[in-house]
Amino acid sequence: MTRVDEEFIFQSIREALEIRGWCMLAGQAARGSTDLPVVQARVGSMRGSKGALKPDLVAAIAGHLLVLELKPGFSTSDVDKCNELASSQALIDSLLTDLASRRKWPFGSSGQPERPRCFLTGIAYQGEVQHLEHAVCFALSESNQRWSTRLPLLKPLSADLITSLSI
Amino acid sequence: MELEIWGDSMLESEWFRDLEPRLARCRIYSIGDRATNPDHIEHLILYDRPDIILCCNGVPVLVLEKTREVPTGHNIGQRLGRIVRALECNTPALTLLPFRARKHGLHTGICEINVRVLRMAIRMGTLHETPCLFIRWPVDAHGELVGDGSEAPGLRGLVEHSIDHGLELSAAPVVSTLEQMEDHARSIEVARASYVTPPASVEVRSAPRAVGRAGHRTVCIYTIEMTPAACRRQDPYTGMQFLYDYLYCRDGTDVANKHTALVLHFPRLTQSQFVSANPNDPLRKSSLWYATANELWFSDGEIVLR
Repeated sequence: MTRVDEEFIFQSIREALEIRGWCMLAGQAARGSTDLPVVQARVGSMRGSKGALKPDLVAAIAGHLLVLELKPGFSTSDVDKCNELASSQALIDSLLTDLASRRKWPFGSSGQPERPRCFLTGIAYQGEVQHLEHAVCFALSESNQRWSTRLPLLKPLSADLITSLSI
Repeated sequence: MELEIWGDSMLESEWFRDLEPRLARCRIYSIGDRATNPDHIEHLILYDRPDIILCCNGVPVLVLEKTREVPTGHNIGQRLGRIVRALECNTPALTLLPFRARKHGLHTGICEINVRVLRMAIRMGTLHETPCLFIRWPVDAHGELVGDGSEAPGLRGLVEHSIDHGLELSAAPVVSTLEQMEDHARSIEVARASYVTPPASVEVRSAPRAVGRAGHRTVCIYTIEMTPAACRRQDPYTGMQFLYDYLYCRDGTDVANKHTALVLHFPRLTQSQFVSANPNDPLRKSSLWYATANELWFSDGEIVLR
């Protein structure tokens, strides 16, 4: 059994999604800087990054957007973060605006960021895969270091998106 | 030749390894907590942990710091301690960051590097006779950072030269980088004359009395408006104290070598409030408050350090 840290999860899930055709738009590794910008979602006008939700990884494929929280092990607080983001249109709009201002996501003709075909949140960690109601669950096996995906129970997804998520 | 990379982040260590073919097979080590590393690493992390330490045959030949942040205002302060420490250990220091890039948020716009940082780096390198270089992370026409920083002009050449010869001030890639820093600093100073003088939080003037053990008659007072409710902190102030020290006080490599005394002024704190929150404990980062100033001034008294 090999225990891993969050940096490993970041790199491993990134590679697994890229192989499936996902494009990395933004992210924040647990340590150090990468080639990805750090983006945030926030409501209100507090200064700096106070009160902001900064996703660990944001990826896109064919107009779908996936926002991930990463941890070495399963974390209920990450599930809560996913639910908070997915249930707040203001937070989603804020995130899309930040991505679009960095030219990582397109602006529509109205001057507002385009709405994704599907907005998905998810978690990735090492451990047993979990059934989540609204978020995708990516779990890295401790025994063979392979990823498994569990789709959200209450969110219908298109067939092409299901294929892209099955890593 | 045995090369080792010591890093604070595995992702950054692997990024650094990919900069130079000869690093491809070298070992990567994680910088541990204080007192758990070999001596040559411990010396370099006395103030803080840099992102990368490159060692050649057990001797550090380069310290590298890397950040995507645009270093406006005093944001850069949190990184300066580790850079200063590298120079104190006669290890060349490279900092990779954007000189000019877009900041995002409510008031988005193009932001410039605090040019005093470049001036400090040039001055510090001269005093320590060791290169302290800032390299520009490229940005696109919109001000967004390009790539992962490995495309920065001159970076690969400096790493290569570190391995082959060690970086000295007279080395061609060092001279070239220093010229770029100087050119950028000058262009900003022409556009914004306020950078030529100290910022609002710093005053250089005649001392009201003899300051420090050397009895300085001129003093550089750095006013830090920490409050009792939020005074257990170091960043970015302890880094910025080094910047002002090298720019306005120092004339040598030792903290005692000053033509002007450095005073850290805490008008909202009593001495006991400060000391209880920030003890001079060498195992804690709070010891940086005591690293270079001559005196600390509080609302109810002062501490003479040197």
